[in-house]
Amino acid sequence: MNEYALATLTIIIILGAGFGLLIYFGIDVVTYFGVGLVVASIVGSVIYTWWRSQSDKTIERLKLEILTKIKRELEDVESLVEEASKITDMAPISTKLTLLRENLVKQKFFDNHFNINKTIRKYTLTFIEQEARKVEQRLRSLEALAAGACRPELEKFIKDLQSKLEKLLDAGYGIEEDISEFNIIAAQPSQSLREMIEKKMRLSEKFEEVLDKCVEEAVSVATASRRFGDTSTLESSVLEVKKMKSDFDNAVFLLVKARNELKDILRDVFSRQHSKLISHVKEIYSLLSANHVGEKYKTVIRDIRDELLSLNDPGRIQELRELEREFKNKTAYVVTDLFEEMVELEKNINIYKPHEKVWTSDKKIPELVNKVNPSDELEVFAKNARKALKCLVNQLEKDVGFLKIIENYAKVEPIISRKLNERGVLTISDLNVKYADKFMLLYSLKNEDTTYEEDPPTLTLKSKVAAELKNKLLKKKRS
Amino acid sequence: MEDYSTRWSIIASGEGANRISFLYYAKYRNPAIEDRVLLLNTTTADVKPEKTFEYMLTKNPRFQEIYEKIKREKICIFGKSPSGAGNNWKVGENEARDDFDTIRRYIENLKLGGRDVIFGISTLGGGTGNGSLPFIIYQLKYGSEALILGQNSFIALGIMPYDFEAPQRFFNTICGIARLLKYGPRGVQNADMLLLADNTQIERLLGITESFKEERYYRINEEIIKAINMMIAPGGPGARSTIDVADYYQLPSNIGTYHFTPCMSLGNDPEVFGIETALETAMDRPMAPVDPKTATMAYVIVVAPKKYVENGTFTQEGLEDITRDWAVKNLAGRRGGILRYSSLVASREIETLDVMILLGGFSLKDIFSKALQKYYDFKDSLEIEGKEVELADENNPRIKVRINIDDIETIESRIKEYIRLTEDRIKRAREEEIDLKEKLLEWGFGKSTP
Ligand SMILES: Nc1nc2c(ncn2[C@@H]2O[C@H](COP(=O)(O)OP(=O)(O)O)[C@@H](O)[C@H]2O)c(=O)[nH]1
Repeated sequence: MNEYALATLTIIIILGAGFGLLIYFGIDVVTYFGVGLVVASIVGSVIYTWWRSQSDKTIERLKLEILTKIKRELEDVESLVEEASKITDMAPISTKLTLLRENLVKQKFFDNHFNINKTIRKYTLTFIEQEARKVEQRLRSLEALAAGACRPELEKFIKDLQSKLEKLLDAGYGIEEDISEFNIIAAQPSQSLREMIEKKMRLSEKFEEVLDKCVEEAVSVATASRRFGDTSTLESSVLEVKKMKSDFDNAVFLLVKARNELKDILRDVFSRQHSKLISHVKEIYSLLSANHVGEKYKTVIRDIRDELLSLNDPGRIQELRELEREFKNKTAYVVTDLFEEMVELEKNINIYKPHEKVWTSDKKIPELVNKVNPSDELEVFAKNARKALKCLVNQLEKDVGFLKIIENYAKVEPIISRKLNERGVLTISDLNVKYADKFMLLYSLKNEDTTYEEDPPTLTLKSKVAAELKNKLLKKKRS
Repeated sequence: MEDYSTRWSIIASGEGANRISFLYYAKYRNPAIEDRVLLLNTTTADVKPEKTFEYMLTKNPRFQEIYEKIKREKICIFGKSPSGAGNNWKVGENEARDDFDTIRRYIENLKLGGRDVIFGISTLGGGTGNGSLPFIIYQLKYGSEALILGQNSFIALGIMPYDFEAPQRFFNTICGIARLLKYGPRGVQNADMLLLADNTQIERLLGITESFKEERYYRINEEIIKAINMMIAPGGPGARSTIDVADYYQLPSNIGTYHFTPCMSLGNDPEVFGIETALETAMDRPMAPVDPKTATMAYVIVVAPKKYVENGTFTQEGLEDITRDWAVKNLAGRRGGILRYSSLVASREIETLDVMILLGGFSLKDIFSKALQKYYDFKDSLEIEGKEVELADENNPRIKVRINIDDIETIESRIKEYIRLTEDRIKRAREEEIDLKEKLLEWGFGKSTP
């Protein structure tokens, strides 16, 4: 309105000015004035129009921007809510979002396809701004509402997956590390709807990764067990799991089932192999139990035995096989070590050049030791190892004993001499020392006036016995 | 230290005893003794005190250092005579009496406790130790100036001369044994326990063929030290049955015979020898000439590696059984003597089975029969002037002293009395068991019972 009044006023002033000029200066001047005025008006209006169109454009642009932002946010929340609807029921919130959307269409901000309407020119910028702020507040509160609804559900989801992981672990899958990784993700804080959704995604991904791993494990155990039973259906059902990505319930069910079936297939084989191996290990261990065998050898075999005893899951048949390999290798080491120990001892013994009745070496041993070969089949290996060890341990006892006899002979000799002089005849029980037979034998070898008999070990002082016999005969004669 | 129920200290008098104690201190210290060691000696003005230790000090350079450290505190030179005691026990005794203040000062330095054992060492053939030790023990035990309150016990170790030594040494030996057993105006029991060791015997046991005198002493002394340590062991940690000092001397003192000799069998391989055999071996190795069949008392000490005690190879109960059988077979009488005691000690330090038997109450006949001839050879050579004789050192006639002939008679009569009691105890141990039937009747049983 003002514009028109202003225009009228301007025209009146101009007409007034033109009339004034006409009266004072005449028509010529008025003509110039009129032409000049027309020109000035044209130029002025051109300038004015240009200026007006410019400022209108800025406002329109702002309006557009605000509406675009609203649209984006709305769609954002809509998509979040849609994601969240996988976690829990989002219908009430979705309805409210639809209402909000419809309202915006009704207000003619958007057309039916939710594109920004041309008609927004009608609305002032201020109006659009006010409306936009309202929508935004509404969106925030709806989002918070959705987050609140999701939180307990997400927790339930985590618990559920955790229990599934436990089941897989119990079934025998080696996923201890993955479980702890999963739990680290689960423990991270999540406040907003977005954070919750992201967490859920990461947990799902991790879980899928675990499933893949289990599948692989199951397949490898299954292929390795083909020779113990038909594993084909089992294998294909496990491969199914790969396809059923999000159906965790079923996937876990299948995997656990597969593992149990594998156990059934392997149980017999496992327990047969397990008990066989353990009996071999125990036999070797008991051969080493002698006092003169070093503790370190016993420990090596004892460790394997203990590990075997704690291995009772048929699904871990591969570990059983590894233990068998370890048993063979370590036993072979023990055999060589003991053999070297024996060779060393016998070097010392040979310095004494012992009489063969007191000490002999076992000529079979080197060959027996050579036969102990870890690449042999378990039965063959164990048999050879036992043979070698039995001889080795026996011989070591002889060797250690012989050295003890040598070391202690000086102490025993006077005891033998005294008792022999008292009694004339000595048996083992008279001597009360370990290796009594060997001591007596050694004594008889060193003292010509004595004889030694082996069965039962008896040492006789010839001169004394002879003298006594003579005395007895004399007495008899006299009487 | 708190592991030891009793603290021990060593007082050694005379040259030989000083060598034993110094070697002990320098090489074999025992936690029950720590550094309570006192070396007493007289010396001639022109001879340095370290002369006694010369051989040891050259043998081991570390010993020199130890000697320097202890010489002021632990070596006491007593007596006023410029020529020392020589070979004359009476001089040694007089010097100790005259200079007892000095001796007492050093003994106070040992900081003895009221229940400590004082282990006195002396050679029996010489003058200083043999003369002074009986006097010192008597003073500490009964003297008016008795230093030690409480219940100290006194164990004396006397070392007998080699068989080949001169008569005066055997005169000294017999007087020494007598004075260690009984002393003072009334002839009361002096040492609570007397251990006898004989140089010739120990040397034979060790098979020493060495001719160098100092080295021979050195090896004998080592063996004596081992016996001391064995004796202390049952009072220490690891003992399965503690033999306390009181156990060592009380009963023998009550019985009235309290002379002992150690018999050791050390270094036995526990994988080869049992305790029975070790006991038999020990029995063959008494440190003085003794007929075990006359022994009426025995303490058996067995030190075995801990692991064999823990795994039950050796047990205190087993040891007691073995000791009983062994005693019945080997000691006087059919019941295996009249007193025996055994203790098993588990040791963390040793790998061997070590056994010591302290045989006691045995007949002193074997010991006296080798000493008496020379005793009389010497005694008969003395010239009696009135009631006195002059004792002079065979080697150093400058050192002489007068002794009342009655004193010698007293000494003789006391030792004879002691021998009589010993023989009586042996006889009693050997007596047949009582006739129970007859005795029961005598006590009034049997009239009504069938
Ligand atoms: N076992 C042993 N006997 C010794 C030693 N020194 C001396 N004897 C013996 O002791 C006697 C001499 O006594 P000694 O101690 O030298 O004299 P003291 O200093 O007057 O007591 C002799 O019978 C020597 O055989 C020694 O170091 N060890």
